[in-house]
Amino acid sequence: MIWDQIILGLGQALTVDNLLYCFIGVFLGTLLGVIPGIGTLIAVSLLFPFTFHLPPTTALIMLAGIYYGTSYGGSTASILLGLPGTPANAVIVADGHAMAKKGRAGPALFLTGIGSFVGGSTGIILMMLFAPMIASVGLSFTAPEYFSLMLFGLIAASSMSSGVPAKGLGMVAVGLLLGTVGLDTQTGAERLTFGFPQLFDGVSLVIVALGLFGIAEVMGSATSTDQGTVFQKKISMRSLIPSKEERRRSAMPMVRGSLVGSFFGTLPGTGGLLAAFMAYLTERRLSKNPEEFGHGAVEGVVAPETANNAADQTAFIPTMTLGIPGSASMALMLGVLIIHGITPGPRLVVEQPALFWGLIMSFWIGNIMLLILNIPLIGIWVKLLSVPYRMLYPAVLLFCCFGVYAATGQIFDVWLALGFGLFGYLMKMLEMPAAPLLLGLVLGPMMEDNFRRALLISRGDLAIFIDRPISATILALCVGMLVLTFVGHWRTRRKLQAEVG
Amino acid sequence: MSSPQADSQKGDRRDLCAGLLLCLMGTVAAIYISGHYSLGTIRRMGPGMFPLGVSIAIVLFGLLTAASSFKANSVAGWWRIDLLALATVTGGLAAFAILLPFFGAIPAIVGLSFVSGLAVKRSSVEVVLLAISLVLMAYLIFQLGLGIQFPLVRLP
Repeated sequence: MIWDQIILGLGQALTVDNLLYCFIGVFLGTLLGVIPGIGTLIAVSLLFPFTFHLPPTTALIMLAGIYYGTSYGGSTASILLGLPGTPANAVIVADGHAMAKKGRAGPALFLTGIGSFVGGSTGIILMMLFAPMIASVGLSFTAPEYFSLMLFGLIAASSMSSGVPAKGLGMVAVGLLLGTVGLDTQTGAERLTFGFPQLFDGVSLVIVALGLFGIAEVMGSATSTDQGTVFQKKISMRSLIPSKEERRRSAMPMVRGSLVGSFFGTLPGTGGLLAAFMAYLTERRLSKNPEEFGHGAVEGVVAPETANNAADQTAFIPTMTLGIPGSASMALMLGVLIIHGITPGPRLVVEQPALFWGLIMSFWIGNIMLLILNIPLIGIWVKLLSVPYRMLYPAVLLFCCFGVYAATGQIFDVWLALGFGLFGYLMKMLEMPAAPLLLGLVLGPMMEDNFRRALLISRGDLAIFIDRPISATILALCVGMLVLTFVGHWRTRRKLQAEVG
Repeated sequence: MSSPQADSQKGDRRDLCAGLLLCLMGTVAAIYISGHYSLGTIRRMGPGMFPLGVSIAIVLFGLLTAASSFKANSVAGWWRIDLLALATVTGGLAAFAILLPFFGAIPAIVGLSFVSGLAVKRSSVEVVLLAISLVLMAYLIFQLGLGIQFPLVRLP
């Protein structure tokens, strides 16, 4: 059974176009990931408008390539520069850069490459095994279940964001509100457009993502002169090979990292960063020489990167099989599909197996390309790292402008993006997390739709959400999660007060 | 004494402001929505019901956030704005938005490059180089590579 699906997927993934765009995706992803200050979210946001004119499968393949490519590249910056290329790579900065200083940069890079591949592969295998199962369960879902599930996803994602849980939840609600802007399909009313015809179709995901993540980021860091100390020693091919000891010590961390990463990737609200961090803690706990961690322990480099990539891959599972994105990047992937008229979810797996399995097969191809790419191209990445940020950020702004303008052709949208940039800057000052907002924006319309439908089915009876067992269970989980997060936060606050006070 | 972990768990004036901001946004939204859109009934929801519900949720979470800020210490200097970065980036983007429809892409890109570039001290050579490379990048990547058409120069 699964064999047929693999062949079907390969048929999709191995077309010239899809191979080409897969390559472009992983290449650009690694490139952007290597540059500190440009993380996964910004990379995906910057390049996502340019996938609009591509067919949906190709667009998704390219974006996915960018997505997992950035964490492959990000580790390079961590090791060579001592600065994380993407936030998730921050965990290996200490040990990775220490290894570089000891002259072991080559093996560090090599082992993270292999580890990333192992992690990614584990994630893909899990996806292949479990996605169809999850999708078939999801098929029995109707409007009330979908609503409850989306609610759960939003609550989980926003309460896991750093800081006060209420802030994250507030941001989700703001995203939901933004999602209502535009034409209300059920009643035909124009909502919150304030007379601007350009808002008729709603606030575009591109504009919000580029404004909140790209523009706001540059607004805060344009004058920054943080360059980090580039490790200039030339890295030859031969010096990449790790020693026997390093190889031996990396094996189990790769296995453990894959498992940790795969687990955390599927949970909404957690992703590469948490997975990498947990993997790091696990290795340190299990190590016979914990004091080496922070000073160049190879386990502390390999395990987090493996976990990071595994999490990146398994994050696709809830997104594709249930239509619940667990992070802002996944929300963007979801957004791409919706813009192309495809709604991810259990029906997608069953009705569009070519898209689904084509994507999975292209994950394999992408991961292999990354493994091959990263080894000879290390020299180029090193050169790239020496481009100072003050030359880079105007280019980032250029991409934001063109990304927005190219998507809609309306100059109004550039102004709107600027507005979101300013708002995003305010949000950063007040530590208001942006990812939940994006999630709310993407899921909002669907949630409202399902809510209305559920009430139509039940003829206005709100009890439908609790009458149906699956929906009731999920809602109970929502309540549980809320209680846990608030209590947990309150407890931590009390503990810290005791320490400080 | 205060690790980054501690800082994010400690509420402080930031949370107070964030909470108040949320309350403000939610209240304004709720008032506007209930004034302009019909709510309908639970069974037949009008356009205003879901947005109103969400607005109320925003106010609620804003209150919770603000409340949680009271029992906490503040973090120093959080309100400091890098005015130079903020102004130059905003100015650069505005320059792009204003120049593009009237004068075409090249002036717009040059404007973006120049104004946003003011955030950092540069030699005149670097200013020119930056502008040229951005124009080239835009042409090669967007016009040729992706096929997005835009007028390079427009005469008013």
